[in-house]
Amino acid sequence: MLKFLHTADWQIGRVFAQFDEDDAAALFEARFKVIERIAAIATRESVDAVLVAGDVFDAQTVADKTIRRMFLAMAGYGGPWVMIPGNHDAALAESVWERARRLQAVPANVVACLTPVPCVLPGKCVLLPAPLTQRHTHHDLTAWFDGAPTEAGLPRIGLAHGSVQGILAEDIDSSNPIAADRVATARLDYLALGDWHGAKRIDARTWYAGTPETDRFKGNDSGQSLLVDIAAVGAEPQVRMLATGDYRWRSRDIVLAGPSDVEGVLAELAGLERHDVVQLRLSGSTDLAGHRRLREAAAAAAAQVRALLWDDEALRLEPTDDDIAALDAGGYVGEVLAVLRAEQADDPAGAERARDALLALARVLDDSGRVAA
Amino acid sequence: MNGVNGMNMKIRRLRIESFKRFRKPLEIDGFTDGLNLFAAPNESGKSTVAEAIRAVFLERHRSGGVEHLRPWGEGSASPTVDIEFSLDGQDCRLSKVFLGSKKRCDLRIGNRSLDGAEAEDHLAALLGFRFAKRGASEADDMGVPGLLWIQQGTSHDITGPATHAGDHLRSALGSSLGDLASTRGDDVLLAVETRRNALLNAGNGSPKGDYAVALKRQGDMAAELNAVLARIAEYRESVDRLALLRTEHARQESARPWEAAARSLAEARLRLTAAEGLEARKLEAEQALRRVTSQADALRQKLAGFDKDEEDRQSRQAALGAAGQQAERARGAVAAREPRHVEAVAADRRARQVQTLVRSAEARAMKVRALVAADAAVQAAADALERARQAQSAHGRLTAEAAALRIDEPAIRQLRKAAEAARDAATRLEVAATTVGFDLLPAASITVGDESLAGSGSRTLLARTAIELPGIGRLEISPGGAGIDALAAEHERCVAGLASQLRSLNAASVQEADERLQQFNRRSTDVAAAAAVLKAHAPAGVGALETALAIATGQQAAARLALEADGPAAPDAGPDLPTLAEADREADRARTALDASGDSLNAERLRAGTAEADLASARTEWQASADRLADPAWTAGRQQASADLLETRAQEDAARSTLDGLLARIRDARPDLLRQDVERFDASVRQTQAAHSSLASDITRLTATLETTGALGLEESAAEQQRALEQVGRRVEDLRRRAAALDHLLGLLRQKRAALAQRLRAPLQVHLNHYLQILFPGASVEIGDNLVPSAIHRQGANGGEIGSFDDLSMGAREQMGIVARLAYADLMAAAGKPTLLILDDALVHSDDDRLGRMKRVLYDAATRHQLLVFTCHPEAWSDMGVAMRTLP
Repeated sequence: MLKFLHTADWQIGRVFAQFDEDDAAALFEARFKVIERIAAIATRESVDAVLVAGDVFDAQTVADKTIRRMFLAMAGYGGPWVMIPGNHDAALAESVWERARRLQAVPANVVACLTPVPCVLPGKCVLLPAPLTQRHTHHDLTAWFDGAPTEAGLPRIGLAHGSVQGILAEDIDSSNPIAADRVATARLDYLALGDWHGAKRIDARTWYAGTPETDRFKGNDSGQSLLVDIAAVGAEPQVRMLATGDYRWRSRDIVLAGPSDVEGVLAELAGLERHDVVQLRLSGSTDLAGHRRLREAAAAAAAQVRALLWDDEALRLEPTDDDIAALDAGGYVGEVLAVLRAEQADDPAGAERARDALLALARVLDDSGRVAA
Repeated sequence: MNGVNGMNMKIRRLRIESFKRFRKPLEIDGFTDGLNLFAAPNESGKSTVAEAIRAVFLERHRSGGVEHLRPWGEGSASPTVDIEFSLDGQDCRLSKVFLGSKKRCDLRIGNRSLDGAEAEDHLAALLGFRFAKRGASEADDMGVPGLLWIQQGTSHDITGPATHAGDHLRSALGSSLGDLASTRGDDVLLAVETRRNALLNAGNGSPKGDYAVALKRQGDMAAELNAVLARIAEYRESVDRLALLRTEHARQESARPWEAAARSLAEARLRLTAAEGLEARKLEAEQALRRVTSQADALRQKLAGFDKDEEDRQSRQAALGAAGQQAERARGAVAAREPRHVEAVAADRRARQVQTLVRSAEARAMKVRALVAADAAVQAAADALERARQAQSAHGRLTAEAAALRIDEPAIRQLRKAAEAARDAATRLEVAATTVGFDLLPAASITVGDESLAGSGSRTLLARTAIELPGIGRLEISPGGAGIDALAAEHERCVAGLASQLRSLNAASVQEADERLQQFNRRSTDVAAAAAVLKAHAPAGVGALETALAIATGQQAAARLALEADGPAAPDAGPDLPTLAEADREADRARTALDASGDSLNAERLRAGTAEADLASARTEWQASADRLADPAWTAGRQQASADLLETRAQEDAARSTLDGLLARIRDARPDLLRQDVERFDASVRQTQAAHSSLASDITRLTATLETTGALGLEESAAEQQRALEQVGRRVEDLRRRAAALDHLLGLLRQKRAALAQRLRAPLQVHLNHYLQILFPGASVEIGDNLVPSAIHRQGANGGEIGSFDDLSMGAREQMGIVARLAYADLMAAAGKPTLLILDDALVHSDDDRLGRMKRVLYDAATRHQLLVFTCHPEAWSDMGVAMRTLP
């Protein structure tokens, strides 16, 4: 009877500050690409509509070009797109939506619901939108759903952006609250939600779609869109998760204790490929040779993956006798090496500096050894 | 001194031949193990001996660069040095012949014999030097001998020789010291320093290079980002304001406050119109009142005019009376003034008559006095002339007398000279003549020449003279003097000259001439006195006096004529005639009184005329006034005006009460407040409408601004800037850590290197301190990386002082140079190296005190080393306890 795609939190225009320029640019770009894939899926699945539950834009003042590019990316699906503003792109007195309208960038098949009035897809469903018209609200914008009359025989679909009360305790954000029993009180067939970046089922009729392209290392089921099928008014919707994201974001904290751990990290680095956005935080200790191998492997991996955030600042250096022999650091240089090792181990305040100095010394010795050789 | 027990090298015997100044063989033996003192004056070969020792060890026998070793002018000689020494107890002998065809080198060590280059190389290894690749040995080849065998004048220089011997010193210190300066450690240090200094300034450790650039970029980007963030905040505020403005605009659109204001305005206008009607009536009433009031005023003025006429007549009558009295008084005053004036005229005339009389009497008296004076002047002039004439004649007489007596004074002097010459000639003649004395018996006489003599006397004989002695015969005497005849002639010539001069002077004798000269002089004096008298009586000459007399006589005649012209003297005017001054004063007084009297009389007459005129005019005016009031129309007019005034007053009261009524009504209505109400409501209408349209235009303007600002994509670009800032922040942090690590590392390396160096130099330090305590008790010395003393700490008069070696005085550097060498020698000895010390004329810059300490130092060193000291000051070294050896 009714089949639609549920997505949210596109966050168009987001810039990833923790990455260097080229990686950040690629991830920025990926957010347009995923819209193209969603449009393709919508066409392929012949859905009745695509619902976007807020935070379409990452900010109000994104560039004009960004606005135009987003709407262009939707061209692959000619059916209705229904979207509401979220907290990032709230329908304020002046908003990104107003600008899009002025730019005449909004295609005819895209409906941006900026006011809380029902939107009817003739013969398909009645959409009850709860757009944010302020950056933060502290009352439930979906409350009006309860009393909204609808044409009999059409499914009532809610579209909202915010936190379902009492469910997402760990992400508690008192602003933009949504009553947990809204589906029941408003007799909704489905409540399409945005704001939570992972795909999440609240109950059979209440879902967060999550962002279709992952944008953080936090492990959740992001990078999905929901294909929702409603057989009849009152029937339980069939919800299917479709992977839409391009990049896999992963973050690992690894404690190194011995040579085998180094090998493990090396193997992990070797297994990375171009879809990976990886953060590796190393701690524990290693010898100079291990450290050198890790650094070299990390440098090699950085070229393979989309982005690699390598953090070995907490990794202590324990030069072995072999290391020292290899460095040929006799005489007073050897004494300095010993002092640095002691500082690294015993002086919490100076540990970082001692470690860096050790590395610098090792590098100098390496270089001069190489020159000598 | 501990630990000094190494290989001994002691020179035993030295033989030199054809070597520089020693053409003949020179042999020195009897070297002792310790101190050997050689004394010789300059240029006597002391340095040659030292040089021979250097040459035999340090120069290759085949070297072509040792020409200077040959004696002067002996181009074919072969310098030969033959030296015997013991080395670690073994007897050794080294013989070298340089240059020429016989050059050779033989070395024997114990039983072992070596020759040629092999022998030389063996010794070089043993003593710690090397040979120059070609030519004579250079300073940097000389190694240990270059350091310990001190050439003349070089003991203060320690750095060069110590550097050249550096390897040997280090090896003596131990192999680890080699590590210190070995390439590895110092290369690492240099590399770390280079890397550290690429990021931090060497001096103050502030960031530089990439690090500084990154920091600057970070700061710039943060500032830029903050600016954008501020604009974003501003943008958000504007959005919120736009929402508020829109709400307000919508509220006004529905409330329409300007319409309520318009209704109030209409009502206020109605009430104001009514109030303004009352005000118009009030104006009319005011005009009516003003009209009757001015009528009444006119009538009052008219009545006042009648009253004035009456007052006028009365006052003019009074004025007529007063003018009459005034005229009467003036006439009286004139009559009283006239007789006094007549009197004044008479007095004036009398005074002037007396004045005339007095003046003519005075003039005659003056002429009489002038005549008397002229008579006296004539008499005086005549007297003066007479006296002048007498003086003139006396002067003439005396001048004539003087002229008669005139005698030439030079001629007199000439005369006196001639008289003297005559006297002299006579005397000379008399002396030359023969004198015959005689004393005859009373009756006897003799004849001398022609003269007969008796009694006694004498005669001078000038020529041959016969003396008849009666009864006896005749004596003939011839005066014997030669030239008597010439004297006689001279006498005669003088007497004749004198007589001639007397004649020309017309004098009988010289005395007479003198007498005349005196008389002439006296008369000349008299002439001068008479001339002075004449000058006193007639300064301008006698003629002037005659002229003066003639003038005086003329004046006398004129005075007489003037007196006679006055006629005979007037009969005496009386004894009471006043003086001329009194008469003049009286005349002036009478004239002044007359003038005052005339003025006064005229003034009185003028006043009287005026008073008469005033009286006439007062009478005319009084008459006119009296005539006007006598007219019956005047009285009727006055009555009519009084009646009119009464009626007008009644009208005025009525008009005032009408006006008061209107004013009361206006006061109740308050048109001023009503007018303000109208203004207020009108302004309210306009203001609320303007505010509303201003709100609308604010909304338009703000919308436009927001549209423009929004199009800039501020948040997106801020996000990108934030990202770039974080990226540069990561780089800054990276560089900061790198810099800190390198800085730390560099510090550690330097510290450890210094500590190691200190440790390694310790043995040298011990030896050096040993001598230093003898030289400078309490001092300490720092040794640099090159093993040379770099700084010395001493206790001076002003407390502790530190000085670099190079800053020391020449003397102190010399002493330190030797002390350092002795320490090196101890170090070498401890390491089992042969040591021999040669001091050629060292310590010449040291004062006695220092030299004394250095002697203790050297004496101490000589207990461990053989020490050859060459000096040209034997007396300075006589207290070293060893025999002073001289060179032949």
